Amino acid sequence: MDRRTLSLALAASLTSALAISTAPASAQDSSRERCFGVSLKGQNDCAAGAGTTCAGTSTVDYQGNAWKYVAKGTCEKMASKTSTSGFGQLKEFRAKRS
Amino acid sequence: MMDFAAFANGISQSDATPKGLIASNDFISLQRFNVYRNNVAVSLVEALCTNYPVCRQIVGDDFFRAMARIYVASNKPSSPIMHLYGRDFCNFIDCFQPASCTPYLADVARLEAARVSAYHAQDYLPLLSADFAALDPERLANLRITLHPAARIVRSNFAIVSVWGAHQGAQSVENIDPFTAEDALVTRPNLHVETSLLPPGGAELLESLARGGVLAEAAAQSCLSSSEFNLAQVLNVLISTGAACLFTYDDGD
Repeated sequence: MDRRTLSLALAASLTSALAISTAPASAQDSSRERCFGVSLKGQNDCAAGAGTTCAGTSTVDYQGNAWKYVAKGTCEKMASKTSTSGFGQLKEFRAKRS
Repeated sequence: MMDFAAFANGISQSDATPKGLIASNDFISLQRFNVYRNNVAVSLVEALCTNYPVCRQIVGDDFFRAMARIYVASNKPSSPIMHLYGRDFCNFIDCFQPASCTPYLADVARLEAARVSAYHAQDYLPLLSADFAALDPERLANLRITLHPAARIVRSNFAIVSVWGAHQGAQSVENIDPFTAEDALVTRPNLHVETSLLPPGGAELLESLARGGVLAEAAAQSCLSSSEFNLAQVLNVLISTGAACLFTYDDGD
């Protein structure tokens, strides 16, 4: 098979790859939302590792300015003890006094 | 004058204080210095806890800290940057007999180390699906695809992506067979580190591309290594995860 024929064979795969991914450019982005106030201590989505100011710095449960990715539509249904609404919020919030 | 190498060695011993120590009251106490020794060890164990949160969840806090403590005893940091500490913890786990009941632990550690390293990798705009759509279909065989600086491939005989995902709440643990081989692709689209499952032959394809192979050769190699290899599927993952950052053509032949 010459290079051109080979290229066209590969192009067929690329076309179908692009067809599948006409669904969101980044699958996670549209199916998930940032949710504030629902992540547990040290488990907020930060991958910076040890010695950084971001990793594991949410030192209390349900910290209002710490967020976590959750499935779209579920954030405001998740219980949050610090939230004034009692549920997770899509924006950073101040913890209510307990 | 204090010799730093002697001081560093002195931290790992427990029977004497390093030479050259000075105390305000001229009283060098071994007991007092052991407090310092313990603080060093605890802080390094803490760094491993932060770098390997899922491994810690898998074996539990007590087991993880005990294992980390043994690693720390013979592995001093070579850099003050703590996210770099314990990059070879996975190799230690491989040989750590008590962890043999969770044979996938070392590979989950490899995945977690890859994620931290991806987080700190150089910035570069990933290629989008529009860039792929604009490629010349007649020259694809000679296409070289440079992987994004944050892209990491972690291959495993165990279900590392599913196990790791279960600890992020992505799926429940009951449905996972840890003895299913899974290859992970770590990328950082939109500045967030993400872990994706590579389809069969995907790791071979990306590794060939990373070595500088052209697409035709890389695809041929993946075909040989996996009967289930589907180029469209792998390209789809490559595109949607932002794992590519540069196209070049090798039209020399």
